[in-house]
Formats: sequence, C-alpha cells, structure tokens
Amino acid sequence: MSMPHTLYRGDIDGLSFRGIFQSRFKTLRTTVYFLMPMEKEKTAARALVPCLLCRATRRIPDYTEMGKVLSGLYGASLQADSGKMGDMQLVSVTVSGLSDRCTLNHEKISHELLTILKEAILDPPLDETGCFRQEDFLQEQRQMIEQVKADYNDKRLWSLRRMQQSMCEGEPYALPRCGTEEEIAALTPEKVTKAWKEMLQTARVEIFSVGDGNPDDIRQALHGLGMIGTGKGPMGSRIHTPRDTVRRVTETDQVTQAKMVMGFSTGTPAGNGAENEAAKVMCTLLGGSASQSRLFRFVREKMSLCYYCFSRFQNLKGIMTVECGVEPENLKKAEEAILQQLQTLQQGDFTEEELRFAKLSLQNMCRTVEDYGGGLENFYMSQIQYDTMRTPRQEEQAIWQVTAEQVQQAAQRVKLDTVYTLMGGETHEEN
Amino acid sequence: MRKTEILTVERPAIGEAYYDIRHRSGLRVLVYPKEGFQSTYAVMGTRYGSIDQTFQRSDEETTCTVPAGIAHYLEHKLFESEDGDAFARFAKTGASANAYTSFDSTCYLFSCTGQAEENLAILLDFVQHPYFTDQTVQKEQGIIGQEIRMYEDDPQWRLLFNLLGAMYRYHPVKEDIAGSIDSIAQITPDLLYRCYHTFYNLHNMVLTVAGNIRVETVLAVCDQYCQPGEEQSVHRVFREEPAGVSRHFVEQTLPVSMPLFELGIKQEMGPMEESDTKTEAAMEVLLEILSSDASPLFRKLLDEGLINESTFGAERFEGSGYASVLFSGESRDPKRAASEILQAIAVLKEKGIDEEEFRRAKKAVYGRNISGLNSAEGIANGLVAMTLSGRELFSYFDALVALTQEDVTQCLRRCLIKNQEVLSVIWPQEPGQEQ
Repeated sequence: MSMPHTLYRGDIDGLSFRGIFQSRFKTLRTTVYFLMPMEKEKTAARALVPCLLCRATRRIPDYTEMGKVLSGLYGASLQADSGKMGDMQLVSVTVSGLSDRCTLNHEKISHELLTILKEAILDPPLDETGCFRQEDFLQEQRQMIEQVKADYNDKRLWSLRRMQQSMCEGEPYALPRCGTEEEIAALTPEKVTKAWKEMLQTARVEIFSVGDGNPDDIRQALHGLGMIGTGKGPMGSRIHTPRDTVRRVTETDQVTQAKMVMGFSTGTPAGNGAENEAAKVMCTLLGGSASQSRLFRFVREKMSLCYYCFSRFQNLKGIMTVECGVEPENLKKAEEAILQQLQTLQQGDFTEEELRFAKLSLQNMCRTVEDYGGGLENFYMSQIQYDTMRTPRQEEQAIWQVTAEQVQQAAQRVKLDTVYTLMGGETHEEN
Repeated sequence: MRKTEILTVERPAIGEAYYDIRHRSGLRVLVYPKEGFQSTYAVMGTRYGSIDQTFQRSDEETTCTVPAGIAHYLEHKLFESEDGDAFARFAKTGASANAYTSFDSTCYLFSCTGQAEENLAILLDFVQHPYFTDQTVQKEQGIIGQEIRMYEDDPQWRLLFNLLGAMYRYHPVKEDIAGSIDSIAQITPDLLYRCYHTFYNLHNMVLTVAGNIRVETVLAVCDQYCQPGEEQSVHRVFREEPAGVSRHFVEQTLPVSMPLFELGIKQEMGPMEESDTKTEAAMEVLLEILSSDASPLFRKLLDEGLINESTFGAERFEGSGYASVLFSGESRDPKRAASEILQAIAVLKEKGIDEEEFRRAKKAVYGRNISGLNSAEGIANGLVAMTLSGRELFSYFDALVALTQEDVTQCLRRCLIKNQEVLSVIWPQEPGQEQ
C-alpha cells in the first residue's frame, strides 16, 4: 500500500524548483524561499519584506480585498515567513489552497493562486516614488515589533533562544531572526524597498511545491519569477566553535518553574556524513525519542524531577541542546542527572536493544514523514545547505549503518558549552 | 451475544470513505484507510475527562465525588503495568505513543509505520489493564506537579482558565485539567481504580484507526482483545449552572511583553446539553464572516492598531454542558478591542448577513475542512472527538454544504447574546511591580 514519493527536480526560468506531486493530497502548496547570509544590519529589513509582499498586489491593492479573493478561492492562504536556518536568513512567501480536483464544481483555482504568488513577489503596490506605501509599511512594522516582543511570553522558547544567543555570541546564528525591536523601529519604506530589490537580485532562491498538482502548470504560472536575479546567491553555515570553559548564564523573572537549557557542541561538521548520523542516533538515545530515551526514563520517570526533559540536535551548527523544566531547588540535581546519562553513553554503557529502539524510532519518523506534505518539504529544505541531499529512505538506511562504537564516539565528542537558567527571583521589588 | 456490525460511510464526490463498526464487545471502531499512506495512526478514547468529577454508576446507590485532575492522573498511570510500561512495548516496534486528557475525553494513541497489528494489540491491551500501586501513584506526583507548574507559567493557559472561572460558577470546566498540587495529593490507587472501572467500559469508548490499515486487521485484533462486557451506564452529576456569567472582567499580571486578551461569549446550555452538527457548522461559517481577515471587524481592529495578525483569532469552545465563542489575541488596549468585537456582533445582527459574504465564507470553511483530510493524524483525532460527542465527520461536511444564510443568522441570534461576555486580560508587569 505504501507509495514512496519521487522528488521532482527542475527549474523555473533557471531558478531551482523542487516538488512532490501526488494525487492523494487534497491541496497544493507552493513556496518561494529566499536565502541570504544573516547580517545584523540587514536582518530586520529583509524579515519585513515578505510581510509587505503578502499584504496586497498591484492588481489586488487592498488588504481586505485580498482577504476576500483568497476566501472565495476556498479559504486559500498567502503567507509570509522569516526565520533562520543555521547562519542563513530564510525568508519565504507561500500560497496554499485546495487542489483543483477537490473544489465543489471542479473550478480551477490553482492558476489564480500561483498568479497571486508571482504578483505578490514581483508586483506589489508601490507609491509614486517606487517604495512600499507608508500605510502598509507602518502596519506591518508595528506587527513585527509586537511579534518580536511576544517571544518573551513563551518561557520555554525564550529560554532556548537565550541559550542559543549566549552560546553562539558573535556568530551570525546568535542574531535574532527578525532583528531587534530597535532595528525594526528604525526601518523606513525606502530601506525595506531596497531590501526587497536586493533580495530578488542576490538571494539564493528555492521554489518548492507539494501536493496534487503538475510541475508544468506551476512552471507556466510562475514564469517571469527568474527574470530579475539568478537565484544563485551564496549559502552556508559554520559550526559552533566550542568553548574551553562552560559558560553559565542565569536570569530571573516571575516564573514558578525554573527552565534550564544546556547547550553542547557535538564536534561534527554539518551534513549527511557518518559522524552526523551517529550524533543523531546518540541524541535520540539520550533524549530524542519521547518515551524510550535515557532522559525520559531516568530524569523524568525514575527520579520524578521533570515533566519535560529532552534533547535536540542542530546539525547545521554542530549543537545539541537539552531542555527541561524543574523546581528551582532541583536544578543542580537535574543537571547532574543529565550529565550522568551522557557520561554513560560516553562509556559505551548502553545495550544493543536500547540502540535498536532509538534507530526504530528514527526509522518511524523517516517513514511517517512520507505522509505529510509539510514534513517532506521541511525534510528536504533542512538539507539545502549540505553537499548532498537524501531521501527519507536513504536516511533510514544510513541510520541502520550506525554502530554502537560510533554512537559511543559521538557521545565522546560532545562537550558541555553553555548552561542557561531562567528562574523566579529578585528582579522585581515587592510592593 | 451481539454480532459485530460494519457500516461503510462514504462520500464519492470527495473520494473518501471509512468503516463504522459496532464491535460485539460494545466498542465503537472507526477505520479510515488512506491509499498511498505509509503510517498508521490509532486513537483509543473514552468519554471521560476533567469535568467528570461527580458521578453515579448504575450499579451503585450513591454519587461519588473525586479530586480535580484525576482523569489526567489516570491517563499518566495507565501506561504502567505489573511487568513494565506500555512505552517500552511500543519501543520494540518503533511506534511513537502518547496520550492526552481534555475536558470531556481521555485519548491514548500511537503512530507507526509497520507492525500495525502488534501495536493495536498493545494499545487495546494496556488501556484495558490498569495497574496502580501506592508507590507508582506516589512517583507521578513529582512529574504531574511539574506539568502543573509549567502551565502556571503559561500566559495563554492562565488567560483561558481565568476566563472560564469568570464565566462559570459551578461547572468543572473552569478547573485546570491537571488539577492542582493540592488536589492531586489526594489521589490514591483506590480512587484511580474506581474511576477506571466507571469510565473505561468498552461501551463508553471509541477506537479509530486511519492511514495505512485494513479493516480486517483491526477487526481481528478487536476480536482477540475486546471481550463483550456488561453494559454499564454512568450518570454524571452537574450542579445547575445559573444563567449569565459570574463576572464580566478578570485580570492578572504576568511577565508578558504586551497585554493578552480573550473575550468569551457564553451560550446557555442545560447541565448535560451538547451542541448539534448544524449549529457547529453554522458557527464555523459565522466566525469566518465575523472575524476572518476579509471581515470589516478585522480591518478596523488592524487599522486602529488594536490587534496583530499573528495572534488574533476566534474559536468555538464547547462540550458537555458548556458552549461559548472565544476571541483572543494581543492588544495594546484589550478593553477597546473587546468593545469593537461586541460592536461588530451588534452591527451584524442589525444589518443582517450579506449574501456574498455568506457564500464566500462557506467556501472558505469548506476548503479548509477538506484540506484537513490530508492528515491521518487529523482524521483519527477528529473522528474520536466527533464520535464521543455524538457527531459524524461527513455529515458535518454535508451540513456545511447545505447551510443557508438563514441558518447562520439564527446561529448568530441564538449563540451570541448580549451581556453574556467575559473579558480576560493578562497585563504585563510594570517595572518594580510584583504579582
């Protein structure tokens, strides 16, 4: 019954175009990604560009009108995103809607949606000076400032970001993904317009489609996108340089539970090499798979210290993080318990069965990703900076090649770098 | 003995079908095969959630009241058995397992890409075999205690429960699903067994399996693991909830960057009353008309800088004996945002729903619902939730298509009533201020 996908590979006016086309999907989604090296003085302007592009087009110049058009096209969406992928800034515009086959009277809506996507990127409504309109700009600028400030609301995510900033201080990766509040506030329509034009001309461009569609139709609808730049801008990330002594950062706020994030350097180069695969399996064994990992079984279940305690591997930066929420008085105990588990892996003190469970869990992920369009897209996009690109099936095979010895070596290369803690405390005076 | 009955539910127009099975054991089983899928997603749910705190079994004389958070505690503990935990059994197949407790249900699930039969057997087996001891129950207090603490720091969670606390005087929906540190301290193995034997009866449960699966496989496992049991009913006891809301405004200060608001509009419901398919379909379209980014309300709020796109939204919140509509987001001026929303509702009532807007909203809602069929996970969880509240997925799509302007107008007049609102706000701390 299973039907592994084929990754379509082609181009649109010379721009890289990948896709997964299967009729079992009820939707079609196309994203145009722009990748640029993170640069402090440019991050904010670039991050604001897609927000302005998704607001309106010259043909549909009003925001509410755009909402009505998309709503009438079966609730389709035009979405902006700005983020970070290793040391690269990733800015994107996505159009997503029901596939033509699924509309009530088989109306063809995909062509109109792709046209909106193309026009959003190339043909936004501009004022008489050729810049983004002041009103649009102010609206999106305010919203982005609020969005950046809101990062503070989620203390788990906030703690993770603060750890990454502390650990990678001085590296492009430490820069906030949309710039700082002050940097966004200092923008003008002219600056953002300049960033838009520069992005079209110099960024690395990747177009990705997933769903029930046809590459030729998409190519035809998006024809013209590649007329401005070559889409071949520079790309790459550098792994984190390990510290000699552990950096400890503790901050206080009005929280009841303490959040601890530990950052480790993994000593592996980015990519799809054997060392990365071993690091991935090691991280899963330690705290990656939800219920069979060491951290779940020992730190949560046996010691009853945490509700959440897990690890993540950031391949592009050679970083592994461990996150947990604990009572403040148990912080030290939790840190020791986490390090203790890592130490047992370094000593090779794990069973063949545990190793097999970790691999089975990764295998399950590789196979499950086949069923989810968004998951497949992420799977491939996350490899865009590597020298080679793998299918989920190839990834699965590589996981099974990893030996116990390689896992032990991967654990031995891991080095604690930074410990960030957020806890309740004396930052505010009592009334 | 009852025989197993199998019905096929299909909608050829969208190319979708599933099996609705009444298994001889009393268990309701829904199997939704998806062509071309590699993964299998299964959920076993029982109609037992955080609101079921006072109840009477048909074979008992008196009612019983249990500590808040016990349904959730039971969910955590059910994974354990005398010879190890269910997670370890799933690990052998590579399946990813989990569970969740809501206001009115508890669900256990796994997702796998092979050995579906073995995984189903594990699921059916562990859910039907409770094992609680003083020691294992005690151990969980630390873990769940940290889960409760985590939610205490979550402003969205506080926003909602502050709102529910102001909206309801007695309904247990106002209490945190996980209970409190104090309430969970009262939980014992005896109490867990009592709740288990009351609510984990196959007649009160549903199994759904979606994705890469054959109906024969599911039936074979059910035949082996689900034995016909006596149908036992349970009477849930809810105190009569007075009309109106308890308070119109509730606030708290937390470390957030700008104020968060949630405006709830309460709909009166009887103690066990549940909303129906048509009302829910009409409500989804109504909320699209009222607050989607194509609406005049959204335009006004955005133009005046009262909301932002990434956080503003409207949703339906309903279950056994409770129903409301919630508008939420970040706002520099929550009171003004709330008053604009209430004003927009009043204007819509007065001017009526525009034909063109109605058609557009209906298309948008239809499109998004059909898009949901991409996901085996979404289908399996959706089927469980709908079945436990007495609804059916495809009938919901039919109801959407059949909906008239008049249906939506009626929904507006019936469900969004004046003076039924509660505004909940989380304020940021001023420098030098401690909550």
